[in-house]
Amino acid sequence: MASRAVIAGIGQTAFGRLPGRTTESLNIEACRKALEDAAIEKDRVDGLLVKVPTSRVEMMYGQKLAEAMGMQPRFGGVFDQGGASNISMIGIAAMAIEAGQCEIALVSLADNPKTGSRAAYEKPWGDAADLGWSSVVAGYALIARRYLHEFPNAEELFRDIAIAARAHGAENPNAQLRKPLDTATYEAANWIVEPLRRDDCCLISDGAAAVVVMSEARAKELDVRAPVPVLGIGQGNSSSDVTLRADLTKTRADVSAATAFAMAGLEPRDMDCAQIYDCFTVTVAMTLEAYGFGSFDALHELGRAGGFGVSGDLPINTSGGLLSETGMPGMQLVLEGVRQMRGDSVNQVENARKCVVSNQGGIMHTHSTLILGQ
Amino acid sequence: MTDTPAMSPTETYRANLAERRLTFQSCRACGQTWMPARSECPNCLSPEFEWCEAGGRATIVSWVVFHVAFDPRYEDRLPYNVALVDLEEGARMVTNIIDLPDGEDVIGRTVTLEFEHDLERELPRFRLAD
Repeated sequence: MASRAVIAGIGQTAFGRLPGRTTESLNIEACRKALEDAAIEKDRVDGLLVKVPTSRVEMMYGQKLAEAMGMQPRFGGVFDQGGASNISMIGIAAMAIEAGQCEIALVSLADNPKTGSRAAYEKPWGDAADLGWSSVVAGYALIARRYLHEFPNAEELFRDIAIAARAHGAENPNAQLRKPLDTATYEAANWIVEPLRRDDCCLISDGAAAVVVMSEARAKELDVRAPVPVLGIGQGNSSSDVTLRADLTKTRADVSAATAFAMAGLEPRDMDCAQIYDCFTVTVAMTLEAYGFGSFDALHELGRAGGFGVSGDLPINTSGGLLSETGMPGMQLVLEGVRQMRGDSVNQVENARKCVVSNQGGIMHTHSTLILGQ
Repeated sequence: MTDTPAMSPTETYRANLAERRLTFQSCRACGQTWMPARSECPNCLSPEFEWCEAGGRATIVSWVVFHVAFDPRYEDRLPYNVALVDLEEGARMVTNIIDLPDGEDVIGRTVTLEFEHDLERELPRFRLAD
């Protein structure tokens, strides 16, 4: 793009169980804090993009939120790719700004399946429902089983991914689950849908997170304190139902990453840390491989050597990810990427200058990639 | 077998199951086969298809074992398995494996169709062939 976009501000609510709050209320709190962080008046915002909550899917949610915020945005609405929506909407905001459709956009996500409905995650699937086929976790378990067939010692990689996220979450005062994980606890935990154990699965959480997007030039003009440039954006949609996917262990995450890395003119080895969507541990393993961070064997070895920790060769999910910080579908990873680039994460990677963030949705139906840098 | 316009593809599929016949659709234009039932070919988008009966042999693509019942009807059946199998004729379907051995990797194994009367209908399940 001719002019770079930046993330000018970030905001979030508490994560965990937040009874008595609507998703509109959670979105408003995250947006208010993101605007405060960017030191931008609400009236300057002329774009509002929001992901529809999983706890209650309804039409025109973007307009409902705009009304609740007293806004009449030039550009706005819902874009639905499940968890991939967040990064995709940041990309849409950046393109809309470049095309003169708006100047300053809020991109927000709120959800409350913990106190509200989690039916979206547990629903039965089609005609096979009578065979007991139901839930999102079972879809990922089908993928994980196939992955374990291809890589029999993948369980150790899953474990090391979970241990890293939980260690980072333990240090994060905003994390919902601050309990570190060890091998014995991981192995002793009950199955949810085999081969996925309790600690392979993300949390169920209420909460919200939002970002302010504008052009780099506008951020300079407005004297924004800590803008973080968007270097690359990409997406790729596998789209097919997981049961019909020709190869269960391949998604379009590779296309998404290739698009984002090409836009940024960077490669995986240029990244100082990675915030990888970890709804389930297998997702992280597959995403890192698809992004070009190494073969299964290389990732397996990296995990065994503690390479996913803050001072490791490839620090991942430094605020705890979906496994430990909050199970909210994805925007928290973008916020942590921004903090790493600003240098103020609670688990700061030394001299971090580049960070890749992945989002994905459904049962690996959708994928989006964001590269942030300084 | 031909499509009956009064019935949706899903209704036809279910009606065939009720007669203990496992069927899939095949595109008259390009030959693509598919499950579950739908009204257009996912390959060439043609609405012209025919129903074919499966011979009953398939290969396991993947499987899982539920230790939590999200569907209350399966609460007293825990743990139970759900598997993905490729029919010999090409279409893929979700099923259960009868008498699945514990602790064995069954991906790639051949299975054969065995109807079971369950939940007030005829359900297409499979059993290991070897």
